[in-house]
Amino acid sequence: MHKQKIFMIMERVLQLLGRGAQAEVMLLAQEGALTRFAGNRITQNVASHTVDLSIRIQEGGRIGRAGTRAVDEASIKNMIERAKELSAASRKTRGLLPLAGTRKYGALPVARGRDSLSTPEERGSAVQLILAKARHVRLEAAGIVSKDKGILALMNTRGLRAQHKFMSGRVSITMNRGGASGWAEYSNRTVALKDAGRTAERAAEKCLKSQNPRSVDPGPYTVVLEPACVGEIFQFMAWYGFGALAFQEGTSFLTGRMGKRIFSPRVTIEDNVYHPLTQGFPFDFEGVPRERVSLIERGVARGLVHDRRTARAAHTRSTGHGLAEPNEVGPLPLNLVMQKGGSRLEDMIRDTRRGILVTHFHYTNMMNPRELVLTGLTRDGTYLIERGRIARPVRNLRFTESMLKAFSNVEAVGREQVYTEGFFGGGYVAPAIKIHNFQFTSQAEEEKPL
Amino acid sequence: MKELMDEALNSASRPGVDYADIRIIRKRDQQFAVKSGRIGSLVDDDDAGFGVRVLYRGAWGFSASSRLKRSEVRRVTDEAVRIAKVSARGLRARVKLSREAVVCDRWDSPVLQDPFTVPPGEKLNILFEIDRLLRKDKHIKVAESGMSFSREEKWFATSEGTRIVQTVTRSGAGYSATAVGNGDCQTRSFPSSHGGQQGTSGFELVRALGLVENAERIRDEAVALLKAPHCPSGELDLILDGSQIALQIHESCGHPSELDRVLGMEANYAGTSFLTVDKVNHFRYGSAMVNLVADTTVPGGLATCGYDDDGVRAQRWPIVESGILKGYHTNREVASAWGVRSRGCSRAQGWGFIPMVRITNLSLMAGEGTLEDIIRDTRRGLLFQTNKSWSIDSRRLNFQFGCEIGFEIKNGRRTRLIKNPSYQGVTPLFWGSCDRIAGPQAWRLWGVGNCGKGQPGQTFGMSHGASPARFQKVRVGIHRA
Repeated sequence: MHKQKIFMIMERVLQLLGRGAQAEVMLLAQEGALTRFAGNRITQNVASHTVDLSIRIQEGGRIGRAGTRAVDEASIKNMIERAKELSAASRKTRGLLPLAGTRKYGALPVARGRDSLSTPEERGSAVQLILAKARHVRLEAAGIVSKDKGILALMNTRGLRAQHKFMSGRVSITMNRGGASGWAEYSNRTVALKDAGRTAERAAEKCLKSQNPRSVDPGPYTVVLEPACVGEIFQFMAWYGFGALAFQEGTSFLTGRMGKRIFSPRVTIEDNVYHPLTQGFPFDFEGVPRERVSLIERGVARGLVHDRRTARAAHTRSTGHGLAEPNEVGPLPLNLVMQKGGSRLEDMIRDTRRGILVTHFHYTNMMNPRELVLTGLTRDGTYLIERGRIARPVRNLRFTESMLKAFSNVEAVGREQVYTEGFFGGGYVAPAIKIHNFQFTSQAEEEKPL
Repeated sequence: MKELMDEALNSASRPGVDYADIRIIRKRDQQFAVKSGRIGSLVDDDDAGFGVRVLYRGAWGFSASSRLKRSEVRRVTDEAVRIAKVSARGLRARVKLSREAVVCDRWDSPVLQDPFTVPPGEKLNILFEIDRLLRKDKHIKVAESGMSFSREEKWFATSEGTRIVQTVTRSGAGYSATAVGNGDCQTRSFPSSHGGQQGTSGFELVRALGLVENAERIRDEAVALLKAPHCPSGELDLILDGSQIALQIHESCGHPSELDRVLGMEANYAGTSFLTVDKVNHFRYGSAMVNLVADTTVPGGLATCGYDDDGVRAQRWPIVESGILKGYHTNREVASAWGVRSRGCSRAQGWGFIPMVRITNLSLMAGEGTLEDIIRDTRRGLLFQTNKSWSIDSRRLNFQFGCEIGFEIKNGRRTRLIKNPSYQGVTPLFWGSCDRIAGPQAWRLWGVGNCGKGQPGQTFGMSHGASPARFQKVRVGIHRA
C-alpha cells in the first residue's frame, strides 16, 4: 500500500471521528512471506497481506481503543463507534496525558543491496541452494527463508504525522545428522542468495563438528557464548529491567542499583535504533522520536528507557520507547546494542584452559527478575574447550544462572557484532562474550529406561 | 461468503492441483485490563480475512489477505498456486492427505451468556474492585487484572466438497499481585498465572471463578512470600497443584506427542521429540496410574471445536494409557505419512496462517482422594502451586519449572510457606515417579492461551485437565539467588 493512500485512509478516520475528541490513528500495512523446509524438502510456503487499522480515542480523561482489518467506510465507522463505546464506559484515568504533538524524526541507516528473496521463486532458489549444500555433506536441513516489508504510520488530532517503511529478511538453518545438529542464522534488511549459501555452510560446519557428542558433568564452567546467546539474554534484560515502568514499580533488576557497577567494566549496553545492524522504527507507538539511550556504561547502570507516562513520573522526557497506549508493559528497549570489544572468537577459545563454547540457547526463561536468574539450555553446537582448542562436542546442558553474576564475570568481548531477532519483537546487536564461573545445573537429553 | 469460497475453489481448479481449501474468518476480540488503579488495556478489535491453501503435485502453497473481495480471492489463489509450484520443485516425496469424510455441517460452541452483551462498564467494575482489594496492602506495588473475550466465525470449504461453518466463543479472566520489599519481589496469581483461566465459554466462566472473593487471600500470600524462606534444595516428594500439572502436561506430553515434531518438521525452531514412532504401544512414559487423554469434544476446553482446520471432526483418544505411549496429535498430512486417520489437530492462529499440528485439550485423568488426603499421606515433601516459569529441552526431556508459592509438608501436615520453589526432571522418569493423583472432585480444566509454535510464529490455546498429583524424589530448589 502506498504512503499517500495510507495517509488518505487515516485522514478519513479522523474526519469521520468529528471534532471534540482527541484521537490517534495507527495503520500497519504488511506483506510477509516465508518458505519453510525440513527433512530436505519444502514443508510450508506462505504469504500474507494485511492491513491493520486502529484508533485510540481520549475523551474527558477516558480512553478506548478499537481496531479493524478493513478500511472501507462502514468498517471505519464501526471501529470508531466501538472505540467510543469503550471510552465512554471507561473510568477517568488520573494523569492521562494529551496526545503527543508534531515531532521531527531522525533518519535510519539506508539498507544497502537489492531487494531480493521477495518472490516465491527467489526464496525457492535460496532453499534449493541450502538443501544442495546439506545433501553434499549428507546432512538434513530444516529452516526458513523469510521476507517481510511494509509501512507503519501514525497520525493524531494534534497534527502528528509519522511513517516508516520497513523491510527485513531472515535465513535460519538447522543441519542434522543422527541426532547431532548445527545451527546458523542471518538476518538483515536485505538478505540475498549468497547469504543463504553462507549461512548453510556455517550450519553444516557446526553440525559436522557436533557428531558423536559425549556428556560432561554439570557445574561451573568458563563459557564462550556466541552472539545469539547474548541476544537471547538481552531480551530478558529488556523485558525485566531496562524499562522505566518496571524500575518505578520496584520489580526491575536495576531497582536500587542505578549508578552502581553491576556488570564487568567490559560491558557497555545502549538502546540504539540508529545502529546500522538494527531493524527498528525511528519513532515509538506514541509518535515520539526514538533516542539513543545509554543503559550500562562500562558496567555501571546509567539509564532507562521511558515513554511519556514514566518520563513524567521521573521528571524527565520520553526517550521514545512507548508501546501503543493504553498498555500494561510500559516502555521497552527494542534495539539493544552491546558495544564490541577487541577479541576474535578464536582468541577467546585460545585463551581458555577448559570451558564450553555455546552456539545458541533454547527455551530460556526467567526464574527471578530482581536477581535476573535465567534458566535455559544449550543447543545445536555445544563444544568442550580444552587447552585453547575445541576438544570435542558435548551433549546439551541446562544453565541456571544470575545474569547479574554472569555479566560481572565477563572476561572478553568479541569484536564482531551480530543482529539477532527477538522472540518477543525487536532485535539485539551483540558480540560473543567469554564468562567465567557460569553455572550449568543439569544435563539435557537424558533418557533412561524406567 | 459462499461467493468468495466458490471463487477460490474454482480458481484453484486447474491441472496439477490435488487439493485446495479456503478459510474465511471473522473474529471479534475484547480485552480489558486494569493495572494499579488505571486502565491497562481497553481494546475492541474486529478482524476479518481469508487464507487459501493449495496442494500442487504434492507440495503446499498458502496465501492470505484481509481484503474480502472476489478479485482479491482470485489474486490470492493464484499466488497460492504459484507458491505451491515453487514448493514442488525437486520434491522427492509428495504430501498426501489422509482420507477423511466429506462434511457439510454447522457447529456453534455453547454459550450461556454472550460476553459481548455484557456492558464494558460491568466488566471494568469487577476489575477495579479486584484492583482495590489487591492494593489495600502497601507492599503490593503492582496489581494487574484482566478479562478477554473472543468470537470466531469460520467458513471452511475444500475442493473435496466439505463445507463447514463454525462459531467459537471464548472467555477468560484472572489477576496477579506483586509485592515488593526486603530487596525482593514476589507475585501471586488467581486462578492461575499467564492471564488466568480461559475456556470456550461465555461470560458464565468469569462469574464462576470467584475472582473478587479470592483477591484478599492472593494479596496476603504475595506479601507473606517476601518474608518466607527459600525453597530447600535436594530430592523430595513433590505435590503439584492442578494448574502446574496442566503446564507440565503441556510441555512434557503435549508438544512431544505432536507428530509433526516427531517427524522433524519443527527441527529448526521448537525442536523435535523423544517420543519417536517406534515407541508406540510399548514405551513406558509414566507410572501405571498415568492416563493422558486428548479430547477436542470436552465442554469448555480452549481447543474444543466441532471440526479442525482440515475439516476433521472433533474426537477423544488416548496419548498415554496406563503409563504406555499410545498415540499422537495429528493432522491429515502427518496422519497419512504414518498410515492412519487424522485425529483432527490441525489449527491455525487465524486466517493469515497456514494450519499446523497443535496440541488439543490434553488431560491427566483423575485418580482418587483429595489434595488433603495426599498431604496426609506424605511424610516429608513439598507442595508447589501456580506456574511462574517453564523451560524444556528441544526433545522435551529435561525440564525445569518455577512456581509462585510452595509449602513444606512434614508428617502429613502442610507447614511453613516457601518462596521461589523450583524443580527439575527428565520427562519419563518424572511421570514414572507419579504415585498419587487426586480424584474427580479436584479435577479441573486449565486453559493455556499462549502456546507458541511454528515459523512464522503462531499462538493458539488449549486446555489441560488435571487434579493435584504427587511425584517421588524430585530434584527441587535448583537455584538460590
